[in-house]
Amino acid sequence: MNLLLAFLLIGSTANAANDVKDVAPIIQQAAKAHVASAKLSSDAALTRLDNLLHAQYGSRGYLRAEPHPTLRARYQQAAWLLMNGDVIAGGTLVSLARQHPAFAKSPAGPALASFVDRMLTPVSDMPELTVLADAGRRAQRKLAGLPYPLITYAQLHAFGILYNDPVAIDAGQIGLRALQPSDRERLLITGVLDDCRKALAAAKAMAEAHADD
Amino acid sequence: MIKRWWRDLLMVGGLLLTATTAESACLKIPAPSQLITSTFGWRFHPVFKTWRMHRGADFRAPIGDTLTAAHGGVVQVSFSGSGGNEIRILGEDGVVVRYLHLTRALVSPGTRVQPGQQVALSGNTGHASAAPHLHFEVYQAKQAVNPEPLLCPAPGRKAGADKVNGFPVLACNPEGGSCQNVGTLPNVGSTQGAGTTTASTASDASPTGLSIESFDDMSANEILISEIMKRYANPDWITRLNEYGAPEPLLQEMAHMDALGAYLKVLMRDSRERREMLMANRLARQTQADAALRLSRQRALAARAAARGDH
Repeated sequence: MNLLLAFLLIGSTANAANDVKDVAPIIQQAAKAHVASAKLSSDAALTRLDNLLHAQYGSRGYLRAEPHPTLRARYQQAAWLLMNGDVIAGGTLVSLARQHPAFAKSPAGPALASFVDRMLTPVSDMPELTVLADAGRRAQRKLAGLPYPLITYAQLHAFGILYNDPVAIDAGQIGLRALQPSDRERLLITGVLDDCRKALAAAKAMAEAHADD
Repeated sequence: MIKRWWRDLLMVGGLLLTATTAESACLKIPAPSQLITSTFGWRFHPVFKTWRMHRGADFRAPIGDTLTAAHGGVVQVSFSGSGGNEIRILGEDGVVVRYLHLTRALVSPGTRVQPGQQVALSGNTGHASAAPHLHFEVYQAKQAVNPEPLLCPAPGRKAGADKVNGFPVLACNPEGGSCQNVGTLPNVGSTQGAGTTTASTASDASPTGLSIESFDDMSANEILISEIMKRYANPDWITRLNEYGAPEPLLQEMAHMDALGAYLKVLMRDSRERREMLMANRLARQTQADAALRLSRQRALAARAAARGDH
């Protein structure tokens, strides 16, 4: 499983006594603001991802033909996010789908999970991804003392910054606003987010520096 | 009959000549692993949402593997911030091959090498990330081409070599543009592909432009591997800097090492302070526990004394 997204499994259940305890609808709410700027429509994204999973990951089925309605809806949303570059938000939805009891029997689910597992894995020719992964680990360490679900949204925001994912950033902000952290918690989170912005800037400079490799 | 014999001889000779020509047109696999870990082509960057051309093929090559000449020609030696230590072999047919991220070259500049001759040791200099490998490029008429089909025998591919970050590597830029002309051969020692690190850039001439904050966004692992190991693993590091002729690379190297030394001192100081704080906390907790134990014993004694007194 993609360790980067594993943190969002902490307490991410569908038992939503408080609306923001369930991350999936918050991500969907955040995504609505980015529909106009998306390069791919929902249908095009789903087709592209289905083709990719078939060609490269040996998928046994199609996401658009997923028999379970909840998983199908989640796959569709995740496909739109992933193919439009919102890798944290999309990957989070896939991580949540993996927890669903019906996932084990999902024909296309395992291939989708393999794809998400490979995303953002530091590769030898993109050293900036190592910079971002290290920054992500530092952020997780600093935020570790926060209570659930505040920690979930703080990390969603932080990783959204690191991986240039505006939907994840917005989802994180929505959750944080709803949870109203204390002054001390807000100070901690703000510091972490600033660190993430610096790390992204450093990663961008590194990527531009070796663009010809 | 003689004519037929002569005709057969010419045919066989022609076949042999064709085979020899085909063989000599092949490039030899430059790395002993003979395994491609990442292919030539367009890759999607998951963070910056762009497609970027990977102008060579990556071969598995741990630090110190002996690399060999893919074809015959004259050797040039170079360095860039992103590619690290580099050699090129300029063939007489105009084909140029380029080896990046080397620990060091095994031949001097200007040496004429034969195919298969040992030419360099692999490494992770430049922006090779944490994983050492050989980045191998081929240029025909100064244009980058896919090396893989030119190699004989055909190299193996690691599973997933044609995917990066989950996305397949593409032959053509999916955002439009030609599938040809994917990149031209940079000049030797130029800043193209060099980035902004020390010793390679001509744009930052100030030797005091570096500060310890430069290392803030590097993990300890990155600092060890990229900043320390690449110098430690390459005994010719300083010599190569000196060969540029200008003093700036050496001055910048001094500033870089001073900044790195200062940064490591800060890290060590922070670590010591944290250890001392943890030890103090531990001692305080132990003292409190001891005091609580003594108090409880005293209370127990007092209670027993009171009980004896009642009787």
